[in-house]
Amino acid sequence: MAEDSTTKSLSRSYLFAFLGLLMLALTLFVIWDDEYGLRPWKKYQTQYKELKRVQLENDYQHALVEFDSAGGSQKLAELEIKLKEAEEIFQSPENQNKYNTLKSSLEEVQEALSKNQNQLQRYRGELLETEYFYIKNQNSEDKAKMQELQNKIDNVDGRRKRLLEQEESLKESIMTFTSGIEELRAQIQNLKSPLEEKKERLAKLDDVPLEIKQIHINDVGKADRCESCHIGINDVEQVSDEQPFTKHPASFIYLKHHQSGEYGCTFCHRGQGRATTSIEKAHGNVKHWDEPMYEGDMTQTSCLTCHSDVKGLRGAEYINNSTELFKKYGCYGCHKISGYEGLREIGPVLTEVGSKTNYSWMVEWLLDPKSYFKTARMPKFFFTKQEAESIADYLFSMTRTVRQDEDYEAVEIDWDLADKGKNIWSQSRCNLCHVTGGRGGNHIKMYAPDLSEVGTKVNKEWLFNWIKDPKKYFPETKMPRFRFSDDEIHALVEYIMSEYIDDDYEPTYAEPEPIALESIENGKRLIQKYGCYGCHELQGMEEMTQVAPLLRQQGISFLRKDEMGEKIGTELSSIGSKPVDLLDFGKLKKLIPHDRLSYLKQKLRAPRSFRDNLLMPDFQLTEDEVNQLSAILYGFTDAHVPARYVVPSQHELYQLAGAEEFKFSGDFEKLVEDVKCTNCHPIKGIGADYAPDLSIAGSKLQETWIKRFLGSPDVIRPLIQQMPNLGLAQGSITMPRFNLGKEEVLSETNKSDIDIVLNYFQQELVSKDIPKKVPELESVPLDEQISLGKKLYDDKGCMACHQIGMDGGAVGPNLSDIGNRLNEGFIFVYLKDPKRFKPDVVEPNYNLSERERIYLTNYLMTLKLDSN
Amino acid sequence: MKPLIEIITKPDNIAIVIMIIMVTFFTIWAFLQAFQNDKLKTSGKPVEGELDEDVDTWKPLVRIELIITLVVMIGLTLWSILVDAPLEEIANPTLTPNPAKAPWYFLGLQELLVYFDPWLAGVVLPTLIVVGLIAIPYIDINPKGNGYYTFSERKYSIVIFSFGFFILWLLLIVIGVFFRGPGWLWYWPWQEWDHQRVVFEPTTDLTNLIGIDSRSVLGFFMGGGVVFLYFAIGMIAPYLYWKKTHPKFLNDLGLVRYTTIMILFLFMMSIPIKMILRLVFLIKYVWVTPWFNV
Repeated sequence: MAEDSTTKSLSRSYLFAFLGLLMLALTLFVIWDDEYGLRPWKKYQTQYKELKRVQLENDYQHALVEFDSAGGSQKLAELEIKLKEAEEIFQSPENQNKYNTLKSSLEEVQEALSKNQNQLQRYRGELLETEYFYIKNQNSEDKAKMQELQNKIDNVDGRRKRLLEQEESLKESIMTFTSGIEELRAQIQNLKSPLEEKKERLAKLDDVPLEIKQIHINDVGKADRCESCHIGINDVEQVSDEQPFTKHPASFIYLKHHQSGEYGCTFCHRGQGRATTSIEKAHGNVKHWDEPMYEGDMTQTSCLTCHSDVKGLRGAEYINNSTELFKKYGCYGCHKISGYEGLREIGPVLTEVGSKTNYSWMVEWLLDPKSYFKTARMPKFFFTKQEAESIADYLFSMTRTVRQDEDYEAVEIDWDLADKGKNIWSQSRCNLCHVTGGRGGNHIKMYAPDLSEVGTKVNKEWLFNWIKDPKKYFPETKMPRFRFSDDEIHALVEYIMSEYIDDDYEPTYAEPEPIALESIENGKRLIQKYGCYGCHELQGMEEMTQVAPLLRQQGISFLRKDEMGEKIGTELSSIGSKPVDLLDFGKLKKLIPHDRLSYLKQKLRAPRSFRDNLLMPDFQLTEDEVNQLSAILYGFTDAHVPARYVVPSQHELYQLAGAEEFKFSGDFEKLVEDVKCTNCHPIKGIGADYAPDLSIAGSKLQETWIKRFLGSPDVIRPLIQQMPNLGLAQGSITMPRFNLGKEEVLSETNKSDIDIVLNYFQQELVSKDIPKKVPELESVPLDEQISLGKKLYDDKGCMACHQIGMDGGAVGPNLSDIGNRLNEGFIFVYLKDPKRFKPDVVEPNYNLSERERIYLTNYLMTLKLDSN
Repeated sequence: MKPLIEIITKPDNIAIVIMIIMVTFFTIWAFLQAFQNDKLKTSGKPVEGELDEDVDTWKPLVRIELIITLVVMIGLTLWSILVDAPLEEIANPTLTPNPAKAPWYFLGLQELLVYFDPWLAGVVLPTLIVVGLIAIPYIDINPKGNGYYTFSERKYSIVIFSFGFFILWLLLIVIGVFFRGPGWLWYWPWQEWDHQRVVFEPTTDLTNLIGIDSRSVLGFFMGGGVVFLYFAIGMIAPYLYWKKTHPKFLNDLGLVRYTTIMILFLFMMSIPIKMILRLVFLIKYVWVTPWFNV
């Protein structure tokens, strides 16, 4: 007994049982977890199915109601009755008898036909054999046999024809019995099939299995399972606007051109395409996943992976703006980035800066450019006063020959002259590019300095020379030469220097006399250290004579070309795929999230916050700009892109085709250089795009109009396409007056500016597809055509957007003078398909017939203002 | 202290932290019991667990084993449900992590790589450990200590096992986890890891100390001689000693058991000896051969 109890006490049955049950429960949980807990997509797919069912059911009910309301069921019932009647007639014994007799005789005929066919084949075969022998042996016996066979064949063939005729007539007779029935059946089917189809889709829904949907794209190494949850991404009509059931936003752009089966999802969206166990994991928002999913506009950064050029690409507007912003700030000045080599340095040349501005302004500018004007592109370098003075010392001692200590109080203003200048200022539309007092200018792509206080910055002499010929001081400037007379320039300078000056300005810093050599050396070192030459042209000082002629003897030399070659920033060509652990978070390691986007944003917000000895200056970007710039930086990857995805830029296409890229030529080239037409106008892919495209201007515009417009431009399109938010009066947004044709001729050819433009337009900027004239319609007199055209104009509601005289909308161009402006051939072709010339034009395509277009064109050509 | 806290809180190292706590607890507990039992024995009192009669294997023993199995399985299952395997950054083929550490339970072996050729540290020594553990029941002829804890009755076995387990296995793991940094250099837990740190520590081979090239024929034989002497003396000396002092024990043990024990023991002791030679005398190899180095 004692032994038993010991054994029992040692057996621990209850504990064992309990633990066993616990293990069992745990195992069951694991099975459940593996089947459902870790497969959230099953839940989504089930929910989606329900939503889809509701949608399909609604669809079906809707179709049913529509069917009924269109009298469908009544029609169906009628048809069915008819069918029944027809069948009854057909089934009557009398008809059946006839039908059966016909059928059996048809069978007989068909049997005879097949026998006949056999015979025919045999005789033909025999004939071929005999023919062979005859050709070989030239035996007359064979010849006779051939003749005999041929006769037989003719015989059989004749019979066959008769049989075929018989068959045909029999079939026809049979058809008369059945055709009515067949037709009724087809009608019923036609009536029912749309409904049936919907019903079938509803029924098939149950057969759709719950499963992981994977898109595997071998050559980019992607296996995306995103559609396991985002199951309705390819839907035409989405079942719900809740995630993950929605369809792809703007799928008519994105998915239409990038089918998910061909591109996958993470190719553009990033994230962890293979993960299926939780939203965070799938979207890549987990530790150590370097590619979290892009959100919102940020996704457009992926466009850059394949599209070399996103300019004008639909759906890539955000990243296109980023690109422009990136170019505006000239990031490539300090950073090497493939695709951004050899671009224009964005800062003004400094080789003669000493003659342009004054010492105090320069030091203040160096200390904080934004304190002079808010939109300054130059970043803040956090120089100490001493450093800023050193740089100014270097620049001043190296870039001018005469000391100019500006005395602002002593300048006397000729107010009459200034008034004249004011007129010139507004006629020349200076405010289109330049901001003054918060008004005008500064389009993202066309940066021009704020002139509100330019009077404290530059001196009169320099300003005069600058306006006279900007290229002389700064060869790569975007400022056009306005072809003013010297008197006009004097007036303009007087106006600018009197109006745009801070009257309370007191120079804070005075130029030392003499400039300390040590400070000059120091300034030189600083310029090298911070890579000022990334944005500013600093070469060519060697040839200048300096203020202190002894500088060279005392061992101070200019920065030579080879001392300014290196880009001082990190290469950014593949910053978007740089491993996160190679990014130096420095002091902020624990303070900001450890991912690439946070790093980039922090770098852009506060470039030197990671370590103390960093060089990158602070651009004082807005949060929007930070987002945009980080989007483009993210797009610089060294991702391997298969050739089939790559969309080459226009430039690359030319290269691939081995063709010359379009270039301006001759006098026109010089003129464009001088007047900077492409600052605003795109011409065959060159230039900015906020003034009308001139690529086919020669076909589009009338000669007399071009001449008149270039002489004195006025408004064509009041609202659209102009630079937004300028704070300028609408009327003043128009092409500036460049005073074309006013000046002496440009070259030996003795042509005026306007002639050059006109010539070039008519010779080079024409389209073969645009006729000079509208086709003539002889059947209808012109008067009638015009009145028919006017009727069309009224009927189609053109005046909702266009203005004629004082009536009509202001969305499209004013048509009051269109008869003087456009070529009739252009209008005729344009009306056919407005999108052909500009894909994003608002004008709808009315699908006018050729006749209608002729009428409308002829009408529009009558719209002329008196040209005086 | 920051690096230490970082190491301890790393999800990879949860296991080793648990291990340290558990080993410490059970060791102290076992030794306390052993000393208590020893005291009872010397005063002539019976020891609990030292049963007069045998107990069945089924159920008393197997049940306990099954229960423990269940507890461990439940624990591990829960753990693996609650904590995902910790992942690091995506492998970068152009970037070797430094230090590159093995899983914690292999870090003792990785530590041996500092002192031995990979062939010895990675193949021979681990094999001998496994062989030795398998051999224990066959070479242990001491019947004492069944069913209860004792120290005095199994002094040698416990000391040798403790040395092998605590020092040569666990301590090396702890060193590998907590004291090795970039370049496999020694860092105290309060020292910040420095990836640029350079340590100059010239090592030589044993025979080079007396001016004979270890790669020469003479060096080869001298080095081999030292190794041979170590094993020869290690085999013969204890035999002669025990023949004098414990002839009966030696007789019970028999020649085969004796040889096995001594070979395993000598291999085990070669590890601390080599470590001391390397750390204190800066000796890299004792015996250099064209095939392997000792």
